[in-house]
Amino acid sequence: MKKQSNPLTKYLLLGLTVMCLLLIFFTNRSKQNVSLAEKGISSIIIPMQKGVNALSDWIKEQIHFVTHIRQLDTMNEALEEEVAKLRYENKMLQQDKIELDRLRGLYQLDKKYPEYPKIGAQVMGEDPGNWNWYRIFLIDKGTKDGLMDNMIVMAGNGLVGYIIEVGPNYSKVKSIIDDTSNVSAKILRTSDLCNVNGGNLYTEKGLLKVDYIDNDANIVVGDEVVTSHLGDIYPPGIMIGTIKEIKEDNSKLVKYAILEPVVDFKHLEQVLVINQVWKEKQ
Amino acid sequence: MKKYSVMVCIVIINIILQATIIKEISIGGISPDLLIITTVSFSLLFGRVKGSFLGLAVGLLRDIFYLNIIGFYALIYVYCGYLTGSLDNNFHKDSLVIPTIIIAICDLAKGLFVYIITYLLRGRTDIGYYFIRIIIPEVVYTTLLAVILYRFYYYLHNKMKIWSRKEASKI
Repeated sequence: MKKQSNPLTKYLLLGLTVMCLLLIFFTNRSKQNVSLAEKGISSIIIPMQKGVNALSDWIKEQIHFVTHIRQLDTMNEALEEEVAKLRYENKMLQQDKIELDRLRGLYQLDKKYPEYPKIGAQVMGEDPGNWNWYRIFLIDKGTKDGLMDNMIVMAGNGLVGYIIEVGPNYSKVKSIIDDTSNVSAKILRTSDLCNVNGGNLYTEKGLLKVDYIDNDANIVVGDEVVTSHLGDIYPPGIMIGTIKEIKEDNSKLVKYAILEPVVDFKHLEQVLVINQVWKEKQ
Repeated sequence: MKKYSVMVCIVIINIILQATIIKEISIGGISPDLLIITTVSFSLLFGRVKGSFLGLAVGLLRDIFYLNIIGFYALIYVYCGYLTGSLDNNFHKDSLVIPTIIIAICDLAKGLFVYIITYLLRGRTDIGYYFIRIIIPEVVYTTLLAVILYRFYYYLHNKMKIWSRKEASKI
């Protein structure tokens, strides 16, 4: 294409820049509702994305099947042996459980974790968009299943993150290992308040950073950290992880700790969503 | 007309591939940026007007899909498209070296811009870490992919030239 002396091209860059800046200005806030345009586009692209994902999963599975066919026989034998062992153990545990239930009934023990209503969801795409910088992922449930913004996502008994955006058939979850994440927490044993941050420096090793620990706080390695009652969106008493290392700032004025989360963020497949909004984030 | 429908297809295919296959081939959590390759290649081959509009489309789709702020990446891609498109005609389009270098420079500039806006302004000052761990690997990976993709887009560019000649001769 030859250089155009069309006056329109002169103002093209200016026009597009102004348009983008206006869009940034109007959309730079936490979204409560997904806009109509977004719904339209996502209803086209999400199914396509699901299709491509299914195809690539299928191909991977086939390759895996062919390459591992020889190991299957020996694996099968080992597994059968293990099943027999586990059946026996299971029976023992069931007996223990009956006893435990009876004792719980007698003493009316406080449960360590309060119960919240939950529904299960599948992780669809891990960190799809802002690919190299953030830790945000998609799950396959949305407003159709009654999900809303700011609902809490867990895996097992550990905290994963919260929902930042809901579409009809998908939701976006920001995990606590994201660089911008910030959770108000407390150390279970001593009830000292602290702050759990994600950060790219630590995320890589699957760890979190604990800030704002009181200088007099008597914490040791192995202490359990749970969400505090001061949190914006997180309900209190949800397990985050255990303390792995306690460090001091260069100036020796501030203490911070490295936390190992109970959730394995690298292999996240099934998650649970707490089906009620705790507090509206301001 | 055929030309524009091909462009729309390429935009959609790019977005889907970036979200699916590209994620699968990531190394150490770093995946290449397909969209910047497409934007820069197109604006080198077709000029800055088409380049900036393609950048706008790709950037907006990316923003709508993945980020809370709409317009942030659109702005980056529009500038990539416009500025590289302005270099038009100053080099041989069939050479591979110059487009690859330009794509690498664009990706580097993009990485620095993203770092400054979303990290430095929040007080994350260890630029060395982010530079070595995220920006440079992404640039290297993107550049490697660009070598293959630019070939493909160049081939497409030649095809389109033939189509437009045919359409012109019909009229």
